[in-house]
Amino acid sequence: MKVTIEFFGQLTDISKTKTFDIAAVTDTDTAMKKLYEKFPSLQFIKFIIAVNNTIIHKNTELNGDTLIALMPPYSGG
Amino acid sequence: MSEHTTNNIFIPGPITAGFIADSIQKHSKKTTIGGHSIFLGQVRADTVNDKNIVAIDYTANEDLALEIMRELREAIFAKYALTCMHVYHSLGLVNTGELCLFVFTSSRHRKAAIDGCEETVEKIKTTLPVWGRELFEDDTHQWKVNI
Repeated sequence: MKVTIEFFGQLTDISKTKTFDIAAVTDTDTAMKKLYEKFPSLQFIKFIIAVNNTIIHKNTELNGDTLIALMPPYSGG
Repeated sequence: MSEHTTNNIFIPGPITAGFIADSIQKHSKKTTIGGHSIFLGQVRADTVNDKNIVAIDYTANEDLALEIMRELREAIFAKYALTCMHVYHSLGLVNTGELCLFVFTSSRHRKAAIDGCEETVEKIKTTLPVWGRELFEDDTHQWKVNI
């Protein structure tokens, strides 16, 4: 099982990378905890989370290979 | 359902006037149409702390954006009596003065096209996972904020 974090918008200024793999975790809260250890500044930025292209609003269980997208407020158009 | 199918809305670089003209021309055969409404988004040369924006570099969560666009299209067609709708958004570099968004709705009578176009533009701004990185002339940047 592989968990890949994908950064968008201004979050890439903090991560300095488009994607980042983390060791297998079973839910999104644990994934975020690991991520905050690696990138502490992320805690101060507003963003929403999508797991395999579905936006989530609470802790979500992860099964199998997972893509977690971190998306700050949109600014298209 | 074919008219409701979302193609890839993303175009690399600016949307050209020629592309828009061709798109309009293609509708001459659709003779049930009585009115079109078009919105064109253009990159504005804002000045921030005495520095000028020279371009916007657009990125997107493309898969999710296309999924959300598909749902948005369904919702707009359900609400307004549109004959067709086309949406194009730039990705990558678009210089000031160039076009970055093209929304084109058509209907039998003007009201559906006008209202459907307006709502689609507003929803694109608030619900599509797209980001604009505003580039200044000195190679620094700031992230665009939609208002």
